[in-house]
Amino acid sequence: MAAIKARVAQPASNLLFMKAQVLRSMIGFCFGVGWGILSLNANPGDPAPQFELSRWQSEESVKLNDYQGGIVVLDFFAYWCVPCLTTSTDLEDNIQNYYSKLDGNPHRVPVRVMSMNIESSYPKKTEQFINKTGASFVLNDSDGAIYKKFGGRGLPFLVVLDGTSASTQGDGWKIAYQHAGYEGSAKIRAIINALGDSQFSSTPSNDRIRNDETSLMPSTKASIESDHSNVVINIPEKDTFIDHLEDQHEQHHISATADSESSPSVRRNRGTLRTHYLEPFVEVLWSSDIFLVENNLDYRVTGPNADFGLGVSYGIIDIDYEPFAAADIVGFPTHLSEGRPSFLLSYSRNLNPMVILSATAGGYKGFTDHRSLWLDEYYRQQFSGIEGYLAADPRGINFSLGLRWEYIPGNGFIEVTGSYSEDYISPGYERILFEPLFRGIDFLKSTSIGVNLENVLTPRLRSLQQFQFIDTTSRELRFSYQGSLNWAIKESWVLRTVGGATVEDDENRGTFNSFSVGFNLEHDWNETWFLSVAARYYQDNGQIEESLLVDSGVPPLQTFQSGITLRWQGEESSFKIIAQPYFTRFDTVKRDVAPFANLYADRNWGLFGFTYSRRF
Amino acid sequence: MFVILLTSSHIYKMRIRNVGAFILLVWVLIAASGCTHVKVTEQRLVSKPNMLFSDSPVFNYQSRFITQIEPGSAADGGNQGTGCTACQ
Repeated sequence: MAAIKARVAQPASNLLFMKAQVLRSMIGFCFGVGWGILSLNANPGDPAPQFELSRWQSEESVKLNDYQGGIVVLDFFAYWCVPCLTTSTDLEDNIQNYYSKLDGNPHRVPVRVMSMNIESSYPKKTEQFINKTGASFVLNDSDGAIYKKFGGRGLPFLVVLDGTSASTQGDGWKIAYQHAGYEGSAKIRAIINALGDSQFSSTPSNDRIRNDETSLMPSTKASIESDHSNVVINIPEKDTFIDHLEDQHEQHHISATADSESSPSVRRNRGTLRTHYLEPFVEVLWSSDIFLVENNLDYRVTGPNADFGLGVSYGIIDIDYEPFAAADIVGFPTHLSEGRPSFLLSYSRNLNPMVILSATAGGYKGFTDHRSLWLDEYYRQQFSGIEGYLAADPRGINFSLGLRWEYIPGNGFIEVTGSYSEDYISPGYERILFEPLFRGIDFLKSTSIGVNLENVLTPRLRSLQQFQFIDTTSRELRFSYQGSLNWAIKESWVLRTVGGATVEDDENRGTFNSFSVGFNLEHDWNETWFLSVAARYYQDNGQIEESLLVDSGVPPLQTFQSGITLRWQGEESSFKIIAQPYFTRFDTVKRDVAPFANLYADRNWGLFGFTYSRRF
Repeated sequence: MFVILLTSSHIYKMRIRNVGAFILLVWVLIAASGCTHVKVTEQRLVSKPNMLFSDSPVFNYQSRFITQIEPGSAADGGNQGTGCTACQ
């Protein structure tokens, strides 16, 4: 018998082992591919690959070794990369111009920032980007070959190259620093300032450079065309690299002054990498007897290594309360009006280039939705004069802590977030004859863990998967999932789709489940106006509630939503207007839910929203 | 905290099955994500503002009221997460 068991067990364990091996191999392979992309990078200290590229809108060719003896900062960008705008602007101001004025770093090694454009399509947009940032020396790396050689991952991608030991043949260039994302000019300066120390401590490099015309002369000795003013500067044969830089700086200064009129805010932002956002928005949802308003004001400041946000909001609930007379002989109609102030603080910090720690803390005071206010009024009218009844004081606090790993910066991340919340709610009441008033739970503790996965699947598809487990006092574990897929159908058409499901299983009370699907099809009419149509459907099988006499749980519900959204997007401001009808349809209310028949009546809602966003 | 949560006595078989399925699903998706890599020169369209999953309300396409009306759509925990405004 034991032998038979052993024979049976053997294949099973082998199978399990094989499955584990296959799974491990799959994960290993896939992560290997993903990780391999990252680890193909050339590392600091490694020899730098040589390159020769043409300048932006010019036939002129530039070799890396034209800057032999100097320091070169490569700033890989594309016009569509939003963070690249502040990065390139800051690099031009606080690296290029800074070292031009100082005649190089502390060891007098000249510094050149090269803006490496990796996007070949829509040159007009690239031109706008260059004008905004003031980038003075732009090269075409349109197929991303050089970006790839340096192991680029994400944008902006920065590389500092040390050419102080380079030979005339191009050997000796070293990578001093490379990084996806911008850590600020202070970090770049610290790296630049440390270069060329031993070699040039006795002889100022600029003097050496000035005496070494042949090795440091840019390849274009005849003429260099300014990138944004189309002014041709004739550089005499005897000009050195430094002279060339100074000329460039001078030219840049001229064009920057001209630019400042067309793009004042970008100029104003120079010298700082902090971007502030102020976003007020209001949403109104109304039906014949319920009027809901959400007023919000969000403020965010984003920096190179940390973000901070504060959101304050005030919700308004107005209800024409109408008891269902057939099941509620005590109740009377009344008008209810409640406010709910709330706040949310958020903070996130880069622990390293790929890992971000985030935390939030928030709180509110008041009824969270119209249903809880309606139920509270019902119980108040029924039991307020009876011993054991206490007026509700709903309020709550919440905290969360998350860790995000951007395994492909800008393209793929996994984020795990743990949350904890405490809610004092308006409890339900029940009274059985000859028994004291029963007061339901009025305090809930919830813990949840969520996992988010975002990924760029193809050049046109971006996905976000969100999973969450929630455990709340007196409830079963609830699992929810939401998957979003954004599809760039054409140049000016984007389809955003979303689907979700929720399951809460209870052996005694049954299973609550819901699902929803929706889409938003957006068309950009031009660079600033966007119009979209949206539709959404939701369905559930009714809320779980354990009660003796009266059940306040939501009956099975279906909702339909459709409408249009108009969005305007300017340089620093944008706004959005939404107008949508929203329909809620409940199943027939059962006898034990009858007192709430008017609450759970079918309604046709109107939804209107206005959002404004200002960046400064 | 979650270890305590998951090892507490009120865990049923269903819950364990859900957790197992969830972990497997997450790992498969992580692995699948690791397999995908789109070259940066091909990311122009997926980097458009309306292709991103942004926190900004201007690019948020879901109404805040949805979570107040639909018990299964609440993403937060606590009161709304369970839809349990008057638990008994």
